[in-house]
Amino acid sequence: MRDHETGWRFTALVATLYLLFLVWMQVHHEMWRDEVHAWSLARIAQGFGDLVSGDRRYEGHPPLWFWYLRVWSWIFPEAWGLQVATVVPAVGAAVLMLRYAPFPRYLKVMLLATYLFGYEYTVMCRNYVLGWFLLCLFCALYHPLRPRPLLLAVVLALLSWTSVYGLLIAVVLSGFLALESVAWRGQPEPRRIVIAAGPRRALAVVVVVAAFAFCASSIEPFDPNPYVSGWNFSELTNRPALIMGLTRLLDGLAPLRLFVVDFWGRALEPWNPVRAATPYLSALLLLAAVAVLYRSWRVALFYLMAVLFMQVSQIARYWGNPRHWGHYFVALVVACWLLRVLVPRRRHTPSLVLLIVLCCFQFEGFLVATVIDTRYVFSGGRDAAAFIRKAGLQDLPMVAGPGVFQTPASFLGRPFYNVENEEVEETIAFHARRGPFSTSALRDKAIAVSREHHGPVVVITWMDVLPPAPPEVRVRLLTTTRPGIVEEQFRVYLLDAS
Amino acid sequence: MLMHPTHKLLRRIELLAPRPAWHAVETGVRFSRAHGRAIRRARAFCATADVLDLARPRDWRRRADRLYARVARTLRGVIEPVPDMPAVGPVDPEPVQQRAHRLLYLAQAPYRRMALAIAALAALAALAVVAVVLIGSGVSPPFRARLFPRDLAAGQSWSASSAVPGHSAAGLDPSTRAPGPFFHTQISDHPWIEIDLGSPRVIRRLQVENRPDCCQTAGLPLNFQVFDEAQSSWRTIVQRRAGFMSWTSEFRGVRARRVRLQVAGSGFLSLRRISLYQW
Repeated sequence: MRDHETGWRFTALVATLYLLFLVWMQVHHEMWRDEVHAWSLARIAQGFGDLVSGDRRYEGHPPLWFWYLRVWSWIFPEAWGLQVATVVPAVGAAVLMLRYAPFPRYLKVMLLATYLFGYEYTVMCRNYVLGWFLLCLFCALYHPLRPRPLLLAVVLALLSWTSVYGLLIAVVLSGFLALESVAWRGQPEPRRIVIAAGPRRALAVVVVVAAFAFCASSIEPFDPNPYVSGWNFSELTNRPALIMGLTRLLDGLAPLRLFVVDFWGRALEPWNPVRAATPYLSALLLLAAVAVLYRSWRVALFYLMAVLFMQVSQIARYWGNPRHWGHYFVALVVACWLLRVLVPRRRHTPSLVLLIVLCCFQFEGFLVATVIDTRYVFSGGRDAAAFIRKAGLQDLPMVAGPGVFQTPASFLGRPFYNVENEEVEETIAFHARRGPFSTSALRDKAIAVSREHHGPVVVITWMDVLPPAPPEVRVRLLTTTRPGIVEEQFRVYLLDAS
Repeated sequence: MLMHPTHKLLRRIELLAPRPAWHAVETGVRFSRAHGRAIRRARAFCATADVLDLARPRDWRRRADRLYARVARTLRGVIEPVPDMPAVGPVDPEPVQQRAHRLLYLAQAPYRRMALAIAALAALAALAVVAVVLIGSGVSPPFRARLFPRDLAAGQSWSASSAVPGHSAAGLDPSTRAPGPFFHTQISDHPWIEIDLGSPRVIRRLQVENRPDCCQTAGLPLNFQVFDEAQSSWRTIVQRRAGFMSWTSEFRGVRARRVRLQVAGSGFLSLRRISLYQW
């Protein structure tokens, strides 16, 4: 079985098929608020500096994805530019893996058809695709006998700026490289510790430390984010929290999905029949994952530390979602790749078997996601925006609420009056300075804006019905979008109080 | 000093292979530097050496033996001089070293020339930039304004919607260098501070510094507005939603005499410095 590619034919063939698949999926995938929100933030920012200190501070993500999207928004100002910006690194990662990963060919194809690399990170337009691409780049560049400290440091620095999980994996990979620079040498006795040092390594350390410090300083907002509270390390001694953490590990490694429309929001439910056993299954999987890396203690330590860091982050800070838990699998693939680079000319049967088994589990989730996402609407945001544009209403003032659900505004690239505060922008900032939402407040705000502008306004609600307005105000329900995989169904009204 | 590519790789091998094998490799390569033909051999050796699995400690001895044998075989022409090559082996190390240094010096000559040329070009470019700046600033006032922007708010009068005790509700120069806030309104709906620029000016950039001690999110969202004389109303140009220490905003030029910063909701407003620029 061929583990090392010597040409580009196989890579080109599979990558082309993968590209066609991703394009087909993107055409059928209607982006939801979390996806287009990043696009809007990147587009409306004053510049790259504003993406460090502006509204992005409330995102909980480092700025690289937003910088990256800003560059793409110059080329494609419309929202579908975000899909192009996702497909490019996804295919790039696939090319790197197909060409340089020392896996058997069938395993590479299986990896591309997993839930994570075939859907969650590559069809859903989120920053994690950059992390996956940079991890592939790191693995492709890494070789124990060809040290590239500066290049690898730059890749790790960029990786740490993709997401918090990118940061955690980058920290652990830095430790992995640091361990490699230290050897226990001396023949004959006495043996001594030898540290490989030099100007390039010193510069690499400076680059990595500076990048980590910048990342850590740029993800804490000025005031609290309503979704993520501060660190709570006491949870690390809480037994239910620890059990939940193990269950998340199981979903990350083997994401089974129900064949239902809202499969995306019901991640852990397939494991319900064996709920009591899930912590044990997770622990067993973790043990197996570490055990199959036995040929290199440094790789095994890398994976163990990566899992530990992610568990601590999830238990003590933010429990996350399946897209976050998937990094357990990503780290395992990276560990197996590094192991095969470090110890070539071995069969690596245990890690191969484990990856194949996990890929089979992942394929089920991939299949469900692919079928459901192509059959059903993911979010009604794109349809609502298309309707408004088709009706020629996109230039009217727009009043909407609740603000967090206003995906159509991002698709339209138009600002809306947010009823929960006095903000006027095409997407919201995730701060806690937000009042309660009510449909009557939305109606009153729309009336005020209509009178201020002496003309009709477009009102968009998230599954809410606008209450009756005074008789002098004309209100007309224009459309209601189809229900989707996520709860993003919109009603579009035209209100005229002028 | 430039490092020979093979040397970098072999330094890595040093960490993984036991000393005798490494020593043999290093000796062979050091000698091979003095011989162009042997350098190619050393490179070929390195290309094959990197596929060896050197990471497993228990195999180090066996692999080191193989490594040594490979070195000896590959570099035999250097370690054991053949008749058609000069005798510059271990028997006479000093001349070999001198020769190696001379060859390295000669090999680096193109790089030194290149570095010199780059430095000269950079110096010329810097001189050209300085000349353009000086001439352009002297000839064109807009060009000068772009290069050395003048703060339009400096020295102008301002007034606030209200003031807490210890602060005044009006004054001069919102572009202050004071360490603390230069005004502090009371808690109210839509507090504001207005700046009168004296005459209509084109504004393209706003720079606001928040008070450093606290309350960086108190007056948010914060609207920057200009007074539209034609419609007798305030027009919002830009809005700040995120907390900030320093906020710089660039926008399409607007012409106005009166500008103001107003909190869109309720709260108080207290800032350290406000600057406005044409460019």
